[in-house]
Amino acid sequence: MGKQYQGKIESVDLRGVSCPVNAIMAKRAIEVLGEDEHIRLLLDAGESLIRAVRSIKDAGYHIVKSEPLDNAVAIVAGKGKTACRP
Amino acid sequence: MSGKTLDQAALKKTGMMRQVQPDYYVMRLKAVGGDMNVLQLARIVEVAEKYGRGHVHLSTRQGIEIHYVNKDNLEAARVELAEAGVEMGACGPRVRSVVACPGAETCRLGVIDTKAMSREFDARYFKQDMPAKFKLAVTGCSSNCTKANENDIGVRGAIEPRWVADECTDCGLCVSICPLEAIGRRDGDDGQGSDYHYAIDEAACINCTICTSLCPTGAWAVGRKGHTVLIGGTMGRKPRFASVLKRIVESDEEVYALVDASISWYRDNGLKKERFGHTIDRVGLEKCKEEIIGKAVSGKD
Repeated sequence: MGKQYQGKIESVDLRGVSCPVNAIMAKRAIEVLGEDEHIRLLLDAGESLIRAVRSIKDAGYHIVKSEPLDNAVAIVAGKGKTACRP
Repeated sequence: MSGKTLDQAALKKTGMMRQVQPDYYVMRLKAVGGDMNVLQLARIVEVAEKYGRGHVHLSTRQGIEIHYVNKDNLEAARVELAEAGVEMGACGPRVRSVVACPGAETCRLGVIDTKAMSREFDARYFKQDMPAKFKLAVTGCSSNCTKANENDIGVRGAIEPRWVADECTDCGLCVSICPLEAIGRRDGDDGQGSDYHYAIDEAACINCTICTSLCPTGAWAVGRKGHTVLIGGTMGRKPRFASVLKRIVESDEEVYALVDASISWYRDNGLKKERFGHTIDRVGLEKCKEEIIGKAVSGKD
């Protein structure tokens, strides 16, 4: 994708974790971040991803980047309001 | 009522079906869009206890049925139900109860007012005679909870997504999250002044709201919003998924014109006991669509 996210970030692998647990764990992982921090979440593609992303968005968090993997997707998310424009 | 004088076809028209057990009938009740109020439910309980065997059956079309009503009690039970505003359903070759999901009134995914449309369908078509049974469903979005594709006519809430370059951060989430893989990233300007753009494959898009509701920055906006009208769906012994008659019909009036024309076309072309979808297959989908849309435009029934 065109714009690059700066900085090294931690990853949480939620592949194989079913709904709604993957969404709850994703929100928890974001919850403990600082305002300018981000985390990389690995999620199964498909309905699992849709539900997790809806949960993240409902919680007021932001996704700044997405990268397709084999049957999965890596998203970079953060809690700060400025996070959506890296 | 005497068993010898009961007109089974007339009873079916009023939602009463003979059971396997001699002298006992099922009373099928109407619930437009699956809705009933508590007073109606209370009366159904009373009638089921008084005339049935104290239990009810929930039908696959959002209705309630009271089983084991003796033929001699059918009229009394019907009157007592009617006093509380509970109407009888329909069986046989006619328009059945209209089903609907909660729609935009309460569902966060709903695009259209399914309740209002199902009530309008009920007022226009319920119990009208047709070549075969005829089912209508209204579903609020592409999640398709009411299974619009399995009905003779299905109406599904639909949106047409529009990409807005100024809002896009190029995160790429839309490409990953589209359930039909209908979104792609392309190099070059699409006329909005950006050196890249996101585009939708319209043939693959099912007009759902995943991209517009989940884009982190609102770069996927709702362009047009309306209804996708589907025709010819059926389950039963010879299942057939519905065909799209028209996508993104914006006005309710045009939806009603298309449904009027579809029903009129089916009455003109359908053979006795032939479901709408099978008539479409026999005549040809493209010819059928052309004639229905022509009828709808001209306003001729």
